[in-house]
Amino acid sequence: MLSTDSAKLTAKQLEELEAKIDLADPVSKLASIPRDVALIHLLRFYEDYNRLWLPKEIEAGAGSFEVLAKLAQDALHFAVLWIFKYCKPPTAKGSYANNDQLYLLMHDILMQARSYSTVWDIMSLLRRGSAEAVSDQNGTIRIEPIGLLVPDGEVADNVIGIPDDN
Amino acid sequence: MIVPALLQEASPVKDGDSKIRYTFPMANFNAHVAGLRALKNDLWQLDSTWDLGGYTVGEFKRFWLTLLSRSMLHSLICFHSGAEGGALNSLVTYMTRRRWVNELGRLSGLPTSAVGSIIDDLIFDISLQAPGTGKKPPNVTCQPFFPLRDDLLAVSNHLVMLSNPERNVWDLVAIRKPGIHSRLRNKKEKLQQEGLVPRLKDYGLAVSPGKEHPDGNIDLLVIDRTDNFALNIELKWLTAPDGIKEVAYTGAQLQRGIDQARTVRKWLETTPPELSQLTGLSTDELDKIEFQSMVVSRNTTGGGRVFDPEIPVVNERLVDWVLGDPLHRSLRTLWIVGKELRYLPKRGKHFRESDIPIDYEGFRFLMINAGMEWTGPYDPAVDIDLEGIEEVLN
Repeated sequence: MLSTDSAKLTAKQLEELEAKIDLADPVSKLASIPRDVALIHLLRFYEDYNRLWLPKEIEAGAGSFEVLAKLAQDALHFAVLWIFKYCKPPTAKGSYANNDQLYLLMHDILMQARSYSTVWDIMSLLRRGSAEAVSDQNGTIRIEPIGLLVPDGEVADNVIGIPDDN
Repeated sequence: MIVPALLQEASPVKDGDSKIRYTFPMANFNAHVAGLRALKNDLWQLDSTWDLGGYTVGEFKRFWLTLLSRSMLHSLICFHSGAEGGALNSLVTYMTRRRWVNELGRLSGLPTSAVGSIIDDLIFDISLQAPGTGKKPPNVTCQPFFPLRDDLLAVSNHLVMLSNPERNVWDLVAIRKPGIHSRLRNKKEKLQQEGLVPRLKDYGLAVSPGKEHPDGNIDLLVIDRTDNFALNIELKWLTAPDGIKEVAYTGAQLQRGIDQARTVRKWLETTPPELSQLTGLSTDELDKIEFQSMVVSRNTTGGGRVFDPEIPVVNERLVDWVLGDPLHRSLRTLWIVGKELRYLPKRGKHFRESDIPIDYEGFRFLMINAGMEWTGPYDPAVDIDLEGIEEVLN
């Protein structure tokens, strides 16, 4: 169990946390679907996300186009990895026609992957010693950057960096 | 606007449930490729003749502009076709590798051998994602052709539309063809040198070419004769970091640059005889010159993870802002601005930070100061702090 006191998480506690996060992978949601069928539905939902959902999220103030598009790209990365890891092998003649249930499932998978990609970034920062995790009394894990030699250096890179797409 | 003309020429017709068929409109297609070439030109910086293993940078660029145009137009045609669900069943194109090669070969005019080699590199390869290989796994944006079954490949339009192809192919070559990448990395620094030297000369500085040195090469030696001040410049052209792993890698590479620059500075301080040869200056003249070092990175300054109080890491944009427009200051000023971090944007004036909550399957994280919002524009003419820096005038 993670401590409920406000304290910096130890390396062992971080390992436990990582293991618990991995347990949330959508194994049971994907296990019965052939990989190729899951992939084509994921790619279709990703297209629809970009042409239909993303503009609405921007309108609702969820973030800029650049931020949301990048989050969706990162989400697609992890969703594809899950599909390759957990789906069953392609069948000889699986239908690629859109299936509403699978479409909605891929919405859930992409949204879960979107949150997971941020959590993955957090765990990477922690593993590399670039941040520390402190669990507060409510169970919220506060992630604070450490070891920054130039506190606003990342912001500076955004300002003076040469413009660059993703 | 190209869309109405495009739709008219393509004449999409319904072909079953949420599906359409159409003929690709070549005239509009070529116009679209030409428009994109002009629009996306800034993203291409590598020499077009470089061989990436089966195809050149130039061929890859032509291939990509073709794929990008096809993806954009296909996405638009589906969306505006009037078919149910925006032609959802046609939206993600899948066909055999052979048909992809033929279609993209026909649309691009490239030889099918080059198109085939490019597509083979761009097929999503799950084996590259395996942990413990010691190699950085590529993001899916690097490989947007997804293998379905047998020889069928599906392409995501938006993955193609939202990616930076040159940067991605550079990453991909580093992973799949490390020998080629290593050779090209040296050429890349030479390219950076060739781009920077004429600008430094335009700023009135004397520039000596690189020199090999047992403890570390000199990339550029830049001298301001008016001020008797010289900078040994270590050049770095790294991929701007796009993730946590890349931030760490970039930081390590820039630190290596600092270490190398420090070694060279120590050598320069001894005023070795080779220095006269290199600069064309006499020993007496060289004795009057103060030698310092600096790392000039093409894009990133290390995102706050790299700092040395004597050897600054600046990027090319900062070099141009300080030495050229809008500031027109000296080489020494550039060095001071870099080492004293006088270019940093200011909290409150330029940006503010916020905490970001992340909920994931029952876990709640709070990322402190991870959100950033711009609050005002950054103007190098006034926001680079030059107060107290004295200039030696001609």
